[in-house]
Amino acid sequence: MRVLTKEIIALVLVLLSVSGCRVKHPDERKVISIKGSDTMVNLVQMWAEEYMKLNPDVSIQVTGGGSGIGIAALINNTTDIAASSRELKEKEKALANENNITYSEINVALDGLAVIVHPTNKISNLTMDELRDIFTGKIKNFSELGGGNLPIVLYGRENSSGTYEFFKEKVLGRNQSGGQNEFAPSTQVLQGTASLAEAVSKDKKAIAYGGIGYFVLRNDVKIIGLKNDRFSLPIFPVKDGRVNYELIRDKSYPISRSLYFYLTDNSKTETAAFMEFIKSPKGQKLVEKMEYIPLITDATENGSVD
Amino acid sequence: MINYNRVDENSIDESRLLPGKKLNNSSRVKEKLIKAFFTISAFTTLTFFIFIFLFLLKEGMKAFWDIGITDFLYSVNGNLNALSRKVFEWYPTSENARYSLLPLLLGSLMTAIPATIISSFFGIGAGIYLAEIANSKTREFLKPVIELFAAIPTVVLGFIMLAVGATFFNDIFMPANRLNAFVSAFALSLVVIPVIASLTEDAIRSIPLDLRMASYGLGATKYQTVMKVILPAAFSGISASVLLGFGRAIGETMIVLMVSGNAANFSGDFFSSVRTLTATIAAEMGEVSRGSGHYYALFLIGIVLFVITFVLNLSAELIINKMRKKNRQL
Repeated sequence: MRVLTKEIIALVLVLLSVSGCRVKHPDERKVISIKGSDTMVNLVQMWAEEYMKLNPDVSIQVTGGGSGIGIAALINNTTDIAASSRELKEKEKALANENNITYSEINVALDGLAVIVHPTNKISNLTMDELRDIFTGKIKNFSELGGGNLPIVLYGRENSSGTYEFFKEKVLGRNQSGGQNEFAPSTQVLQGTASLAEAVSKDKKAIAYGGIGYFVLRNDVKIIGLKNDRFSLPIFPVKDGRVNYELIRDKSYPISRSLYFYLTDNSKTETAAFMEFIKSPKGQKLVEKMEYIPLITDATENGSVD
Repeated sequence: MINYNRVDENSIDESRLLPGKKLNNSSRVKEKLIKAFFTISAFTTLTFFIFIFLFLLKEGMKAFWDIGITDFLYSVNGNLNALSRKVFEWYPTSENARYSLLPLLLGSLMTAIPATIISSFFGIGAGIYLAEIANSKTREFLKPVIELFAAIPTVVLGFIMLAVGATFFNDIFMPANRLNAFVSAFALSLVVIPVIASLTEDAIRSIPLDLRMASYGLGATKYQTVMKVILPAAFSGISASVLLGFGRAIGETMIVLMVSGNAANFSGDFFSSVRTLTATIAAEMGEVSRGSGHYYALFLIGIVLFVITFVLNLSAELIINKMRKKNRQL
């Protein structure tokens, strides 16, 4: 009988020590909840993981669902931070007022997409309307755009990626009856922007879109300029082999946007520390790694993307 | 691999296998434990199989409740002014989501069927060579080499095809898309040929020697014997190998994900990009939001794939069993 008791005690000790390894003092861990944009969810998750590595006493819970859902949670005071790929709408601001929620808006990163073609392609710039018609399958040949007589081959990203959604929203837009325009079914889907660039470099008929950072250093694809309409000057997101950050920050480049965090003003001190981390060069380096555009150029000084 | 040369269970004299002397108590317990272990091992597989199927069914059926059966075939496009028409589109993440599985099914068939045709041609040829023509030394060297081919990770084949093969075929055929159904089928056949070759060889070698001897005895040449006697006798075994090869081609994921281009076209053009059932699951599972219609639709694709491969394997198994019985009678 005594032997058995010993064994039980040993077992309990082992179990305790095992569980102790995972969470030392569960009640002492500070929890930050972040809810919102699906576009940003991978980036936010990355920040959270890195931050938790540095600060083991903080636990950050990241949930997606969409910018609207994150903002709704902010207004209902059920999240500490709302991640949003757009600014608050007037209606949402009014709702927040009604609920006595005061918040601050923090720009955490930028997002910009470039359109690329094969270097031998004669096309050097396109209007946004032309770009829409290309990707919805209305324009089928580069000759319709003043290029060579080549059928257009479309390359894109996976339908669950944020890049896909952003391009669809910003470029394809909506038709007259208000429905979302879709990518042509013939759009080839590749895994990741790197393989997309690889495919375009080998295909004279190709056109594709993707995070600017991925194409900057490549000589085997050509980044084309975009015009808001037929009469305006083309805007190139890359100049002399570097991302033209100014044009993206002031939104004059058409396919760019800011990514925001909305914080309730009564949020905890650890939230502020997390914000510090995000804005630090280390946090912004992660932005670059996840194919977005960092706020500060320091993080991209060496220009490398890995 | 299926063993054709299985000894007929009934022909073994079981009394010879029983231990002669009486077992003592501890070895009897040991005997029972060993037996229990093997029984459990066998039934664990079955349990896992059933659980996987039930899980698939549970998640996939939600797609039917959430979305509706016809939506997986077509969606009706059109507004009040225009005539509405059926469209076959896969836009699972759109605001106005469309879930037609037909372009994906077509994509799978358009890669798997040509792959099976190419592989049958070379695979059966290789099988006949191994079983009938090659001398034992060549066979002993060649068969493991062919089977080794099936062991190459498919991601490696896909990568080689993407880097070299696609460009090669692009320069020859000038297809609409560099990555297309044909390139995928070609890459897939590299995986399917060993399956068909090896199973064909087994099927041919399981034919009793008497049949060959009788044919030679009647003055038939080797060629005549192969074409008129061996092949008809091994027909069911060979067709089973083709079915299994087809199942392998339908289920293959990595190659098609890499080289098919993944465009959910509904065109039937072999030189344009296609999106297969398997590649759709692989590509979209990672970022799908759990519990959404898209999520359940992916599980439904899983069920479709499961049913296809299950039916193919089952029919191959039935054919092989029938053949075994026939060979026994000869």
